[in-house]
Amino acid sequence: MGDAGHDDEAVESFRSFVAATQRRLWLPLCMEVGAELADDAVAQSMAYAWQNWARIRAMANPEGYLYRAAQRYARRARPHRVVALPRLDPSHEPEIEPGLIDALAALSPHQRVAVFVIDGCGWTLAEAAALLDVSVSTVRNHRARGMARLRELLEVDIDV
Amino acid sequence: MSDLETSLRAYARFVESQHTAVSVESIIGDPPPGRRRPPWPTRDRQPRRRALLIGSILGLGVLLGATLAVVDHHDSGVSVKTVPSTIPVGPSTTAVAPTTTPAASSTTIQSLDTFAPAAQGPVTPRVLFTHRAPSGNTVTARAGTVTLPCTWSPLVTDARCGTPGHQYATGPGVEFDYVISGQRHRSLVLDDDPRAVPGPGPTGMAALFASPDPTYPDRTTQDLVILRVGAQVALVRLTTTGPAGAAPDQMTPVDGWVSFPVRSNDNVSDPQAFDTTGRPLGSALPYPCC
Repeated sequence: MGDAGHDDEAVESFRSFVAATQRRLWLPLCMEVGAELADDAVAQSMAYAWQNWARIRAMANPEGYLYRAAQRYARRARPHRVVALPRLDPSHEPEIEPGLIDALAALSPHQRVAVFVIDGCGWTLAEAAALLDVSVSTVRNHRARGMARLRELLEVDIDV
Repeated sequence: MSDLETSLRAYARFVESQHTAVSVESIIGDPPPGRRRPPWPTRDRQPRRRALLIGSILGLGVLLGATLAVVDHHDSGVSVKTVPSTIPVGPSTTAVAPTTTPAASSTTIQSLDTFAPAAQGPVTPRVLFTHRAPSGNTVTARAGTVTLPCTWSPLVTDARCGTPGHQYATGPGVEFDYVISGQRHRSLVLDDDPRAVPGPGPTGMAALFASPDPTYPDRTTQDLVILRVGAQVALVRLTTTGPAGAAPDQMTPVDGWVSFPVRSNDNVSDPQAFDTTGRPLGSALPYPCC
């Protein structure tokens, strides 16, 4: 049930929470379900957070909770799980390996998220594990397998 | 840092640039009624689910009656603009599927209406028609106060359009609920949308076009041709040509609406309009147009 009424302190704390959290929710979700659906799922989870702010702010890991909520929303909205990763014109970003996006799309969602947030966004294993609400070793395994698969797909033999 | 990591970081920067910030004000303000509850199951929804279940059981008779009424309404909509059988068939000789709602579609209407009980909105959407294309794809149109992801977007692939479960637009209009190759989409045309007004041309048709996300693995999308037609139009034909050959489709306007579900990799002819005598009115519009 939603919380009835919010005082100024709750409003401010929610503002701070949204500012600090929304991008962290969106990035892995984008890799899991695509950018547009991630937008919607994050918006929905934030709306839910506001309606239940007193309960959610007291949680030990509200980010992880809302990430799971957003995941469930996205899966319900698009159960067939066709993921359209953000694409760009390679000529505008010469640093990006042309086959990278297709290779990322070939990974499992868990591997893709782990590789993206850790090696792409520079998160620590602990940060990724906290958001995804899994153990550090699980994230480490997903990331290692994902990177190995990426190297295989992109035919990168030496990684120095 | 390896080339792969460099590439990943560059891609991450690009992806981050695609992020659209959530508006806190829209959340803490007064969200639309449909957004007050999350779409995912939570404990606090259990009592509501029980109430819905009991309500559904008690309302079964009402729904059955409503379904019959819907079929009656559809039949009456067709009979208002009866098209003689002498209307020339299009370029293909393939048999044209009937435009009336088959029994299977009636079941679909009943099922979908279960999600829109009268208590949820000021005006319960009423079914205008269900059209089944020769390919088996279907579209169901409902008029009333509807809540949907967004309005239609001509030739714009908006990922939010038609994605089930989103609630970005609420208002009086017509909802098009269509199933193509087993995938369900929805699009909405609001009553006050100026683009949904038939033009002054001889056919008096305004062509709208819904193209929802996603792009499927075979690089196709699933589109809906929506036509708003004037009173002079009694029948509209449209032929899609795909790997299986040409599939002529036709529909009698209902309350001035006609729509055809199509797959984007099929070639689609210009929609051809006919009057009540079977005289071709032509296709005064480039397709798709806006």
